[in-house]
Amino acid sequence: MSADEDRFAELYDAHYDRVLRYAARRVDPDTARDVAAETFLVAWRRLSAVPDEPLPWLIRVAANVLANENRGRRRDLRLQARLGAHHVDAADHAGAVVGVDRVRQALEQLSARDRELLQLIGWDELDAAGAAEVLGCSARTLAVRLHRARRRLAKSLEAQDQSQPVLQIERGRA
Amino acid sequence: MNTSDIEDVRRSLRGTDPLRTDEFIGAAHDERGQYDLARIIATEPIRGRRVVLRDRFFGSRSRRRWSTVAGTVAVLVGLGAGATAAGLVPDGVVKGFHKGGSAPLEQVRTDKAVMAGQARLPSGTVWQLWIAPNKAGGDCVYTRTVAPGGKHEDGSLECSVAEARDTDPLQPIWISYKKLEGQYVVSLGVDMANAKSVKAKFGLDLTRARSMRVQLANGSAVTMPIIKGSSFDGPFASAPTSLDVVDANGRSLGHFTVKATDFCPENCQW
Repeated sequence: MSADEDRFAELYDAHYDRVLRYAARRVDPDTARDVAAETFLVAWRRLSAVPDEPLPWLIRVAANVLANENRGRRRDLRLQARLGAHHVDAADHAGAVVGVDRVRQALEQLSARDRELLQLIGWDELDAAGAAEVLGCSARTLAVRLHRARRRLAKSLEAQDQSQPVLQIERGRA
Repeated sequence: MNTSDIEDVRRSLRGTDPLRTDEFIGAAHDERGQYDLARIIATEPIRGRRVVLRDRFFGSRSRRRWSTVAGTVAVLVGLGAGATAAGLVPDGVVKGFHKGGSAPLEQVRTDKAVMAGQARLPSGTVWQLWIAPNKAGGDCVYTRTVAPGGKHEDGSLECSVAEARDTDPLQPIWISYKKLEGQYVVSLGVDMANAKSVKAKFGLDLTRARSMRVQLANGSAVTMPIIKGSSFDGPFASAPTSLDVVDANGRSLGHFTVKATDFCPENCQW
């Protein structure tokens, strides 16, 4: 095996799971596998361009691959199906599930830009520098965007809480 | 950076992740992960004209490109045109062309697919090169390998955009070489209207031929003469080749002296 192949195999071993998980949160599992493979194909073909801290770079490539993949409405529908069939751990209780749905609905009310940033931090567990690299902005810009996105999420949650009694009244009438 | 923002976001999103905490952990080592790794490493890193992925993901200008293919022993150029004229595009080729994404660049008109060349390796594996137009106005090239007996097939897809045809005067013609099982395949590509054949005069003495005339498959772009190459390792790839392109009436469309644009050493695949 050549030095390039050794280096690439290490990169693949270290980060494939994270890249795949990133993709699988956004598309169905089969498509996510394709996205991960395409991402690492780009990395292989541009190995000299892969930075020492590769994960944000890889996720940025994966995001670009996903942007192409997501153009089809069919895949969006699959994603919806996946989100609808969300796995619930046995430890979850009803209150927790309601809370999860509440946050998800609040996320859905945000712009795609805000949502992606929050998910990079909350789901993909990137730090600020990593998220900034994925989104192609400076750390300072990211800090501002994150602060605003967080406030908008809080407002979206508040709006949901205020709308909930109305729903209860409707149910009571039925 | 306000770390409380990050902590607050993580706290707020806790439990909303659509994945289980252990989902896909270790996926790099499962069957699909290892299969993809092997396939990726078997591809060739970008050199020279291999720019499609870079174009797609990093924004530089797409160019018309061609694949280099490997094989030996039997040249079956011409069979492809006959097969496609009869509408016999194999299912594997149709599926291969549809492996691309949803971008116009990768939306292939498979009903227009033509086989530009074919070769059979000593092992019995068949190499084929298929070309079809895409919705971006360019072409997609599908390189197909079929195992002996047709039990298994594989392939790779590369596409170009329309602008490349009009704005890339640098490469109306190219030549490339690939080595496999100790011998070379020489691939010629021509991107000139009305081109029907190419007379190639190689810069080095070859085992079987120093010059040859090649009919361009279906009047299009590429064909694949195969030359035994045991005597021209090394400098062959950089030796200039003289190419004369002619139309159906034998009129010269241009004379070119080109060097290889691509060279794959032994076991280089993609």
